[in-house]
Amino acid sequence: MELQDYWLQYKLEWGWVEYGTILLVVAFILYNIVRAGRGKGVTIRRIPGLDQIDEAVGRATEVGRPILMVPGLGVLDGITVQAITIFSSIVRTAVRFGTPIRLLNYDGAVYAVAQEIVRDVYLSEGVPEQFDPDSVRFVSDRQFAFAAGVAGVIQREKVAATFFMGAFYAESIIMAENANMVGAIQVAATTQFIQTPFFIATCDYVLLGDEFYAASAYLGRQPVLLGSLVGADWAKMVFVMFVLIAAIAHSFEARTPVPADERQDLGFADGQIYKDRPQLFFGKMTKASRF
Amino acid sequence: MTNAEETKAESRFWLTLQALDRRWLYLILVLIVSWLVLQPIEAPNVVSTRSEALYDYLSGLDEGDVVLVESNWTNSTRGESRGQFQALMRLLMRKKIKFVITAIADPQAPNIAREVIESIAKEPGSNNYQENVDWVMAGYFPNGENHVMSMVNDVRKELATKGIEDSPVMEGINDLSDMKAIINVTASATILIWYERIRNKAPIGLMCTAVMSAENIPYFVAGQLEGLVIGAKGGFDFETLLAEEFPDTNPEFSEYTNFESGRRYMSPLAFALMLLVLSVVAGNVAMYMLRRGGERS
Amino acid sequence: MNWLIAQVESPEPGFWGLPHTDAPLLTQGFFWAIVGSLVGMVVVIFFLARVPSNFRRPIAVAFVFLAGMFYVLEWVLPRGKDMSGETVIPFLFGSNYEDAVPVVANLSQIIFGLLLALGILSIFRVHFGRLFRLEKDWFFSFVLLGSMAVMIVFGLMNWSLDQAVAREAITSEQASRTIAAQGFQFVFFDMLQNLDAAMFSLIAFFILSAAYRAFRIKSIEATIMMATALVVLMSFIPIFLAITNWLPADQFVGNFRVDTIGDWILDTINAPALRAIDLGLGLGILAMAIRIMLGLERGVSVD
Repeated sequence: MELQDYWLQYKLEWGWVEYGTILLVVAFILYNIVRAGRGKGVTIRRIPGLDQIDEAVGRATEVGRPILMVPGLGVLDGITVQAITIFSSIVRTAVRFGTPIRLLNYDGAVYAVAQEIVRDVYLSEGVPEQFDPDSVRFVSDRQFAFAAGVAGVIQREKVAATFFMGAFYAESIIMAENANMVGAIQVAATTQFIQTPFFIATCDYVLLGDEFYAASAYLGRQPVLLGSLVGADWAKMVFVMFVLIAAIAHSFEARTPVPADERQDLGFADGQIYKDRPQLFFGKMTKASRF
Repeated sequence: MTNAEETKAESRFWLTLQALDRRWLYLILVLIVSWLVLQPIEAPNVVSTRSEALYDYLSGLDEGDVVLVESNWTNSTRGESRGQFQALMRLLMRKKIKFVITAIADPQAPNIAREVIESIAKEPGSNNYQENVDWVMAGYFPNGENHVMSMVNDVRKELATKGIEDSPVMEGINDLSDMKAIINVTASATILIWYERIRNKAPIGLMCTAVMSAENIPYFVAGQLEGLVIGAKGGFDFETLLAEEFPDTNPEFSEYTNFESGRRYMSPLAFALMLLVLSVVAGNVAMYMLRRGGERS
Repeated sequence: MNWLIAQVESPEPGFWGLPHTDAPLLTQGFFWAIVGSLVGMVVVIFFLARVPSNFRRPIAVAFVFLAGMFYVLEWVLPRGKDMSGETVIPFLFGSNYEDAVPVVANLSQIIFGLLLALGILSIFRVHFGRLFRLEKDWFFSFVLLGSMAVMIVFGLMNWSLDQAVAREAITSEQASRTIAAQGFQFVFFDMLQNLDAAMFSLIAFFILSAAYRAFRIKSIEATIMMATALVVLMSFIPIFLAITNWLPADQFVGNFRVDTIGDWILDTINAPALRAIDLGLGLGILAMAIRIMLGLERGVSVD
């Protein structure tokens, strides 16, 4: 098959909506970055979890115990990079207060990058001699061995504050509950949103959803980064409009009788003519009502 | 005892209940779970529509159809995944549906899956399933994203890296769309890659741990999942449906095993959850009583 | 590192994969490809070290941008076969874009594998240091290093047994009777796997104590959340389901079955909420990816 035939078929079968949408979102973000770069003021709301970083580090300084940072179980991807960016800001505060730090890693590559970034922070603060290479550690790349290692550090060193940020899975509650046992102030953020409830139950402050991605922009207060947040918000508004239009269209469709010959294929019950089943308020999902 | 002492003793009780040492909770949990693992209580089941959707789909396949089973669980989640996997294997073997086993989450997953498959293949009703004839083990693929992409692009080429493309199981499979289903038995986020890459080539069924259910229900509601089997309850659902289709009251099926891990783990789970509910209620009652006592005085 | 255990998939012959032959090493393309890339790497590093420092950042950003675009294009460019399975004419030096993806993915895996060695060095530095200085908790370090040594020894012995079986030097029956295989069975399957399961089961305890502590009804919202959580919990327990099981499912009273209400909460309230969070996360990561690819994200990229 020739290339142009392929493009034609691809277009017919898959459409360009998905690419068009992504290009639109990218355009929003780039436009707002440029706009913010020109000095158009952009403000974003407060994020309590990030405002607490100074307080948590200060408390750790008072009691003379270390702060603990864990960038999650991810490999060196965007999520982990974002976590380490936030940590570099936390480390900067810790260096100013003279608080010891622990940064525990699950992945060799993340460890290597984290080590360099923490060293850079000490260097840029003018105290490279205070950097302890053992403060950034590789623990294990097995999920539960890692959880056990982190829990061990928490319990032995009685850390005063913990920052869990990145991709966390089942080990989240093991680490956070251990930190709760030793009375640490905890700030957490995860992109694995099914773990968010566990963090909410155990931590003092939790960044929800995309607040995590806003964190570096929020902490750095760079207008260019804030512009990208505004661009993403524009995209959200467009999606909300999509959803509203689709919901109205779907409601009309649901109240339009389905032709008799199609009902059998859709798995309709006897006497059912609509796609939804109005006699049940808490309608059960059937094959027919799902799509 | 004077009135004041009584009030004091009462408030001390509520104070203790409000901030119970966590070790007491742990002890009670250990006792309850250990007891019920050894002495399960059998309860009737109400099968979830999500599990039923997958069961009905698989049960309706023809003899000789081929499905892909991606087994991504290991011993850490055997409480939930093992029951699901066992019931799935029983159904496939009884219906003579051929299957290919792959894994992307853990290099140990194929071994654990093989152990279960081999023991179930010996059971009555399993049609004496033979490896490389009725099912084939493709094994572990280290880069999940790549693997799924290659499976969707060219299934034979991808499975050729494990030398199984000419196995009798693969007869007539030239593209992923020739497989009747992709079933992901998983304890990690492996299914997300399939949502992104599948390009509608085959229906997906998911058997996941309970904690992952919330994340995946939107995909079931949207029709991207053919069926969704959730946690230990899902395993029990599958077993219940097996027992409905192959009842032991029927002499033909009297030697079949329908219930195993799924039902066994149901009662410890149920009572552990009840303990959770009770402890939450107790903590709240204590808080309420203390607050009322505070208002009174 | 799971992927280190498995074999690296070899690509099809073509631009991205050179054919394997038994010809002498010096006449094989892949040998010269390796030598060429090594020499090329040295040259690149040599020039990078000599680049004025104000040019380093643009160069690094350009690399990041190109690397990022590689995976973006993967979603857009044609694949080897179209929807109906028909082959598409290769357009990239005689191969398809998808042939390049595994090669690049393996390349990044090799780099990550090298970085794992740094991680192991970190373990050695922390724990040997503690052990030699007999610091507090030195015994734990001893256990860690000891277990690591045992696992490595048995792992390697077992691997060489597997190789012997593959060469048909011994049968798998014979192999399984050796001390190496039995030792590996003990440390890996009997110990490590069960320790993993034990760690996982701790979650049950921690969920119980966290829920007991955190689930306090202090406001209307907390009350609603608690009631919702209870109904959903009940809908997963057959004993509770049995309470309302006798209500006919497809009549009006079916609305009051525990499973109906639980399913409705999950499908109608929970699913849209999660979709909204997911959408926010997706947009967030897209915005962040753009920032990283354009080198706007300071702190991580070279400054």
